[in-house]
Amino acid sequence: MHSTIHGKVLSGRIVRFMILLLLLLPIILPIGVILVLFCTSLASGDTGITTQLVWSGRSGLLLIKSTVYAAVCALTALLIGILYATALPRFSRQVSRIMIVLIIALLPIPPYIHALAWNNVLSAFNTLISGTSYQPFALEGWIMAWWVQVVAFLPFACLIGIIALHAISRDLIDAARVVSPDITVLSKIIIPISYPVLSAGFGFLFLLGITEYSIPSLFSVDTYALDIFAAFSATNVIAIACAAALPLIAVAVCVLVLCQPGIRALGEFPGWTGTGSSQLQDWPAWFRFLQYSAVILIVLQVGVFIFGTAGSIGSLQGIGTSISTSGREIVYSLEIGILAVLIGIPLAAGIVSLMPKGKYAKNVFWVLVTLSLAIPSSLIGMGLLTLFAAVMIGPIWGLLLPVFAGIVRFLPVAIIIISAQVHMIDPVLLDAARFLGDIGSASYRRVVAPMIAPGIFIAAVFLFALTLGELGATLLVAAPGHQTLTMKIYNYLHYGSFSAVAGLCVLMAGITTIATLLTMFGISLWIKRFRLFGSDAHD
Amino acid sequence: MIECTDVKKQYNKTPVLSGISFQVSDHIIAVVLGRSGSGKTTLLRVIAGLDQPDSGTIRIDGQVVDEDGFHEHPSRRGIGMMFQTPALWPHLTLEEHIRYVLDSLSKDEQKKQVDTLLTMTDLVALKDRYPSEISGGQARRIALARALAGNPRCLLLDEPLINLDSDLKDSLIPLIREMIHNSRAATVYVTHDRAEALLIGDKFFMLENGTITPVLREDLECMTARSQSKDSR
Repeated sequence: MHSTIHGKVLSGRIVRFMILLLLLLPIILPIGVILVLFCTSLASGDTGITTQLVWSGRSGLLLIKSTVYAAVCALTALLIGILYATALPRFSRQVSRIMIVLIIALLPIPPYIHALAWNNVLSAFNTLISGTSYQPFALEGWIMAWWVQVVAFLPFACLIGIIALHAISRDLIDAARVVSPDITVLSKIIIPISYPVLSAGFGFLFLLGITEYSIPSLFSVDTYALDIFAAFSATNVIAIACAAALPLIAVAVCVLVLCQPGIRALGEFPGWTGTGSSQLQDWPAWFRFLQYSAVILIVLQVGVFIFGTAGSIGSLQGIGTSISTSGREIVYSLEIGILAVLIGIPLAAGIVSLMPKGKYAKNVFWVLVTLSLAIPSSLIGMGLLTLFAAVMIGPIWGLLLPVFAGIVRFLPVAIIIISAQVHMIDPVLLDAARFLGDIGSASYRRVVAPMIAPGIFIAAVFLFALTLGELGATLLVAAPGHQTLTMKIYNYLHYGSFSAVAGLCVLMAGITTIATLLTMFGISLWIKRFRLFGSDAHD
Repeated sequence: MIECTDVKKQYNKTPVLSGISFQVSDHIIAVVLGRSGSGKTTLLRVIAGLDQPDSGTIRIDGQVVDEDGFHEHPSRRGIGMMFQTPALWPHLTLEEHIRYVLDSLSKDEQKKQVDTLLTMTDLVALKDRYPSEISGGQARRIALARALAGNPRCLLLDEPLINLDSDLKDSLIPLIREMIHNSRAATVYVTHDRAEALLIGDKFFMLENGTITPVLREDLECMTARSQSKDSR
């Protein structure tokens, strides 16, 4: 009897594990294919690969430069994000809400649009000071790339800052506030406790910075990720690009492993609704100065975006012309974004529902789920190309491959968001729902679905916006003769055709911002309708 | 001494404290009784400075800490506080919890006070442990030691024994009473448990409908006896 029950439990676990593996295949498979291809070529003694594996001084220096660049960008953005988050309680509830909406609206705007905006504004400024003795801003180089990368990271960094500060129980902060000033509470209590969340945020930004090349390449800065793309373009041999990418992947995987506790904390932390940090308002003058600087920077970023893109179109007719000449690209991009959501979100929800329970199994789970964040985007594109090379004929694959590119790259983000939403629900409520029926039954779903829905909506809008802005992998897998809006903008930017591209940028930003704001509005209605979060009234 | 004069506070237009006036002298443990939602926690938070009253005056040792928009930061009020949860910081050891409060003292002074408090709470052997490595009762004891570190002028205890079993409560009540009396601080102890109040308190108040009224020990004993006999029937 006992052995029969044990056998049933074991077979149930195996079935769950097999389904989980199946759902994870879209993430694992393209990466696995690259590895297999690389290992096979290495075993066959391909000289191209062995040459690539011998590390030159240039490669080493470039890797160090790229690593430092990504780390400095991530750290700067995160520091500004924390300052912005601590500044929010200084303002009235309405103003701080607007400030949060502002960063959420900026969140899905692709980085190259920020690059265009800053380029336009600084060019205009240089023209303005051309007659004076002041030195014009250099519009190329590491400093410019760093600055634009930082401002592109800012919305995400601010959100991480807000989450980190709000994820701590009020009692823990109050217990510190009664004995020490707010700045000490921040440095000795809040930051150390929220370290896992902050480290996950740093890790995510670092990985985006080191595996992407769109912003550095626009400012004529060579990075390691760009070199991988160049290695593939020059030889058309994926194994060579993979060999070139190995050192970068090693660095990225190290960071990913170091950030695992933080990523797990983000995905499994139950205390998102703590509001203790909103009490912190008594700051020293130097800190207040830094807080206001962070707020001004975000407002400036919005201003630069408006003047740098919309300002350079000149008229509404400009937008109309941009739209009418990009009809195919708009439709193609929207199809890819919507399909990525339709396929990716059920996949992410399924993966979260099958998350293993054991500590060791959970560690393996999170490594597998986030692995694609450590792989350069162009390499993911190559993996997809190889994987589907045999069947990639016909228009359907021309559409599906960019969809999968978005899913492979950004499904980890959707999984973390949905997992966080699930862990936000009081386990007692889930247990109570189980009395109504088994997991998956209609009555169970009727109770649980409204509580999980906000996370699903947020994950959907993130996946849609990030897929829409994806470049590195899409560039390789887009159907011949087709290009996404992002690819068109990027190509125009490289030719320096700023006025032609400004209308497209406004359109792109408009699509993502409207999708985000509509989702936020929908979620707020949903929360009100189902009264998902109680008030924080006191006894 | 803690003095509250006509203190008012409302949340979302619902009055919670409607003109609270009372005072607690040094060495005295004043117990504030009240049902759930009567505003007991709000009263403590307002005295602590964690929330700002809408109007009224609060004085600690004769010094105004809240009046007409003036609001002294909690850390400058000279208070120690225990919460409904132990509220222990997960990244600090038990010893570090006390050291955090004594940050402004010299190393020698810190060591002396840490040793005294850990000895009194019987936690010397556990001083290097983290909150996740101790029991519920030990967590309450370190929270008490932290509240008393730095010799606060007043102590605020918000149902510190809530959710503990009766054996643990019985063992902690004498310790709390002894340590508070040794500290000589003016103490406000909030609870909804009349029996606990009688064991701890020197002076009693009832908080109802946003107003506070003093209660005699004898009356409280009668009320407790009456409710106990009702329960036994």
